[in-house]
Amino acid sequence: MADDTGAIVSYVGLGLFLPALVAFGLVLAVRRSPSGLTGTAIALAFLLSWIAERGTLEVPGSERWHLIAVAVLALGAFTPWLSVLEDRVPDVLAGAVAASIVGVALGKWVSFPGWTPYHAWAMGCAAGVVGLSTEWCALRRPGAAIPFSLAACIGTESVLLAMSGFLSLAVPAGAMALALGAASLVLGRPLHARDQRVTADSPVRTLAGGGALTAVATLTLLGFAGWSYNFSAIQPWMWLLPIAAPAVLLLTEVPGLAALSTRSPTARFAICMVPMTAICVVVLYLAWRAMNDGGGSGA
Amino acid sequence: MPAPLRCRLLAVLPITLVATMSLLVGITALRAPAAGVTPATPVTPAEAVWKLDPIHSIALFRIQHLKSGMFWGRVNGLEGTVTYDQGGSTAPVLDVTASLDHMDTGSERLDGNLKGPNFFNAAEFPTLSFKSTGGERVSESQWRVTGDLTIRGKTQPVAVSLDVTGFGGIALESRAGFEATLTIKRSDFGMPWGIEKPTAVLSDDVRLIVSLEGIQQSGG
Repeated sequence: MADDTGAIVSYVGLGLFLPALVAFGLVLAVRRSPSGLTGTAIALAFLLSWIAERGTLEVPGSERWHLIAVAVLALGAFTPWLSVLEDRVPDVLAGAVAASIVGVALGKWVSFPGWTPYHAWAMGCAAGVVGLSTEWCALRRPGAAIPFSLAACIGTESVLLAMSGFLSLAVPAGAMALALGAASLVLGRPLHARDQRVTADSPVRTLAGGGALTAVATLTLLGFAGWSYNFSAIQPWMWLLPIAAPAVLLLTEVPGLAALSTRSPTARFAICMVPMTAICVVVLYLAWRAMNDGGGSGA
Repeated sequence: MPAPLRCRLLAVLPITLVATMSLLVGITALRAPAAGVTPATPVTPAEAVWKLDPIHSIALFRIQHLKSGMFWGRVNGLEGTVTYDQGGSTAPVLDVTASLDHMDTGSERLDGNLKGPNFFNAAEFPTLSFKSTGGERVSESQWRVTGDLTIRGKTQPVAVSLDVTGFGGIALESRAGFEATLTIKRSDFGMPWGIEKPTAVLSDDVRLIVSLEGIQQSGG
């Protein structure tokens, strides 16, 4: 029994916490470097966890879901260049170009079993649109709120994957969520700032510069993969809603809420976090209920 | 007895006798092919193709859970054929396919887990199959059959112990029964989860007992 406990602790430690810790260390190390490296750090957490879980990184992989690791590898390498681009062209244009590239790449090269091209392009569009809006918000609002929110969404997908029995993907997703959650702690003060555009010499760090795009694109892949490989009682909308949840960040652009959000850091943080957290909690609760209504043990 | 009535009785009696005998023959024919008894019609052929009856063909699998209990599950509805020369020296030729849609562990949640990418990945590989490549007789009713087993898109050569369990049938059909047993290592088929990481959740060795019942299609 003691051997088993040790093995489980080492499995969780190696697969979940160690990759997250390495990524967190990287965020600390590059705190004063271009902010897009946060995206690379969370991609690294995912990939290290993937290798710990599977023993190898299959490129291109023998099964379709292995493409997720390849895509995260590409995202971690590609998206930090957005921070370079953002310094040279209007940020919305830079974000639109990067989000379009990511969306088209996912739509063209990633497809899961039973899919038509429409499914792939729907996934690409979701990653592009949600990624653009989140990246844009992250650029305008340095602070912990957006990384926390994205960590919650990725964490939700991780828990759903674990509930459905897809642990090989749940563990890397959990590592990325942990890394992003931990990184939020050092990504800046205040908790949520508005209309403070991040520049190279900003005193605060953010997920902008490709980090948000990496997180949202991975989130999209996790949700669509979970849906495609699902044989559990978890409903399709439960997989897909957390992908759209980051778009709630746009609420803070609504004039009334934007005015409210200027009053206090706590209010700004709450406006950002509460709706997204509520979506995640509701999805997890209903998924848990659906799984337990079916009866039996999945262990 | 009046003559017309006697004439009518004489006419009806043979008809009744013939009808009763026909009924008796029919009932006997229906009841006759008990297990192990070769039915009169059709004759069990020297070599025949037996198409598997999915209702009576299943695969049971047994795996050790958490280094303790032996867990049993089954895959129902096997399809395919067995070609067998009953009196000859040619080994049975098996071509069997199982759909993972028919996975049945008694728990829908566990069925879902097993169909997921951590185990069978039924979304990408919805079927399992076995095709025999040869074999040798071990005893009168037992064969050692070799063949290719494909699980999760990976094909591995395996050896199967095959018992010919009997011949029978009902009415106009003949049936043959076979039972195959083998032990595989699931890691050979790309299913290593739970053997080492995390350790010993489920054993590597999986014992399979496959019961096949075929209906004669051709031969003889």
